[in-house]
Amino acid sequence: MNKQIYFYTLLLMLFASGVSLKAQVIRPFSATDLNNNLIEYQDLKGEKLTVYDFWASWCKPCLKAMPKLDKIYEEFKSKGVNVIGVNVDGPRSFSKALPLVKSLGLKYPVVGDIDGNIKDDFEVGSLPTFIIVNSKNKIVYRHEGFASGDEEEWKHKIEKFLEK
Amino acid sequence: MRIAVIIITLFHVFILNAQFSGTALTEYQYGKLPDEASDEFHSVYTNLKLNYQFKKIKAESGLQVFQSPYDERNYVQLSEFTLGYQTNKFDVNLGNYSEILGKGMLLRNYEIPGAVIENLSYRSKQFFYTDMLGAAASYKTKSYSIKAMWGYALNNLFPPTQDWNVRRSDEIFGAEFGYQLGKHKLEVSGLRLQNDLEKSNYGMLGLGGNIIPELTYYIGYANYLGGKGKEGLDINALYGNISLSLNKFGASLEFKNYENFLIGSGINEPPALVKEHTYKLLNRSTHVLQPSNEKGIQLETFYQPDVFSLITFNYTFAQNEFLKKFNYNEWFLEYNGVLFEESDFKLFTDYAIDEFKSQEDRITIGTYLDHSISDKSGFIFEAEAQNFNRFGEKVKNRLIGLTYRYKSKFYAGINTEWSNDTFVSEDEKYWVGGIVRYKASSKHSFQMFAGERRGGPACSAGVCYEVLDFKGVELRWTARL
Repeated sequence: MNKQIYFYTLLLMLFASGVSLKAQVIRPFSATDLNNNLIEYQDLKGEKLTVYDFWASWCKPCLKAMPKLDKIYEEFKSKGVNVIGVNVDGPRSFSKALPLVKSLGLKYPVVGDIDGNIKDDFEVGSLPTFIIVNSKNKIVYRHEGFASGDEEEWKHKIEKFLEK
Repeated sequence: MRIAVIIITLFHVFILNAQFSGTALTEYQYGKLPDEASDEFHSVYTNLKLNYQFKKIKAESGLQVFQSPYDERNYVQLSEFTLGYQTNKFDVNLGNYSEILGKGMLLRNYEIPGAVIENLSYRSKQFFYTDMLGAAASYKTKSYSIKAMWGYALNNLFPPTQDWNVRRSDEIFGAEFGYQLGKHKLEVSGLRLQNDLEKSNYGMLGLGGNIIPELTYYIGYANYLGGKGKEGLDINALYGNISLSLNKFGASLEFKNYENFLIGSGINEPPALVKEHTYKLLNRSTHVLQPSNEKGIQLETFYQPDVFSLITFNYTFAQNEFLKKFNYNEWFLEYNGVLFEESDFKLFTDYAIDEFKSQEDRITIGTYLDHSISDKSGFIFEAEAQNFNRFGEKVKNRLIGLTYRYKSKFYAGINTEWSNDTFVSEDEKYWVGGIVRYKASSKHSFQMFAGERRGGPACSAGVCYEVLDFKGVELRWTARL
């Protein structure tokens, strides 16, 4: 019983204390777009900020967020911000990703992550997850889930990080 | 003194210039299965992950802990330890890793985010994932890719209370080579599996690409290449898809034909070709793929009349042959759009005939409305109804949910279900449960459930599993370093 108390006290202290030595840095990676072309991380990066949206075709809030993210892409692409959709559909549904992206008319690039390696490296725990990475490859903002109104918060965060 | 300088230097290089990251999920429950004879009891499950990264090197570790009043269900387990090196082209992992071979036909590892499963036989809890324990390496360029792996596959039907050799009985060697031929990619995959019952070799050829920019395809054929323990069986799998995109219209047509294609303890996951519904009644009624014998097709079309509207149609046909043929047919139509400029609105209808479950004329209809009452808050209303005939009995399932939301920060709602399904309960039954979710920050979120929850089959992230009924109180804390 004492061991359990020690374990949960330690866990609480570790996570509740806000221990955070440095922001997580993204390791270089390459991914294939939905037409099977290999794209390297350097070619995907925005000059100032890169916004990653992890989504799947079966995730309803993801589909709701994507047209709003497309508007953000249109608004900020000339300011050094790139948006990248990372589709994490597995074998069951990967064939639906491309027609869905095309029918939604998304203008930002979308890459496939059928084996989940990019998702794991970014430590994504739920869908959709919206991540902002700065020019030094550091994760500066992470948002899980989507409800109407969240897109305003994302815009404010992008504007704030562009000012830095 | 010199040693102290070296230690301090190393500390600065490896600690201060490195990144620590981690997540923790803790779930406390007080309750029991509704039909269980025993009293309610307390249990706590924790899944802790701590990672250390120095430039392109990452060390990942995981710990699972389950505590309940029953000793045989309890455990503390080092669930993961991985040392990885990753660049644009190289990826090397030692320890636990996740991989996929031949679009999942030969091997698929997965992790279902946030899902904690409890098995009715063992009544112990565990995080819902599979992985390999061994080593893997891959190398990618624009013209070709190659990967190779060795390891022991995790069979998550057994919880961590069971022996290592029961949970990881399948040893595999796998390799895949991909070559870009203009706008087409050819993939050759191989897998060797060994366990106490068999030694099997599998090979697969896959080809995918663009015929024209609007038309893409993939076709893969996998076959048993010999071994011991599966003599006399016809073992193969064929999967293909073709996708069309024309302005606001998109379509995906898939076909499958699987024959005795369950590899080892189930380390592979050929594409199911069954729609994964997010609506609760439909998700629970899903057809679960039988890789040992299944053929069929799936057609899904999308049409976007305007920026925030989407119409989806899906047709699924699956056929299993176990002494006799069992057909599964499902037609699904959904409208997803905006109502009164302020409300997200979904309306669906679904008709299915499931001969394997003896469900005739299964009709399901439902709606989902997220109505904003201000820029930041709103109400979510869900209603679903399902009727079908089984052995002359008219089965009805109903669901209603009402939730208040404040951005994606706070949710509080109540869900009720009713059913007269005698396979679930002898008498008509109600389930009532309240749920509150609060995201305190980007690092901490809390969720509380109180009441009774209906179990049954569930599918998430392409994987189907069984959720147990529950009656009681459940608290969940998710944290990130």
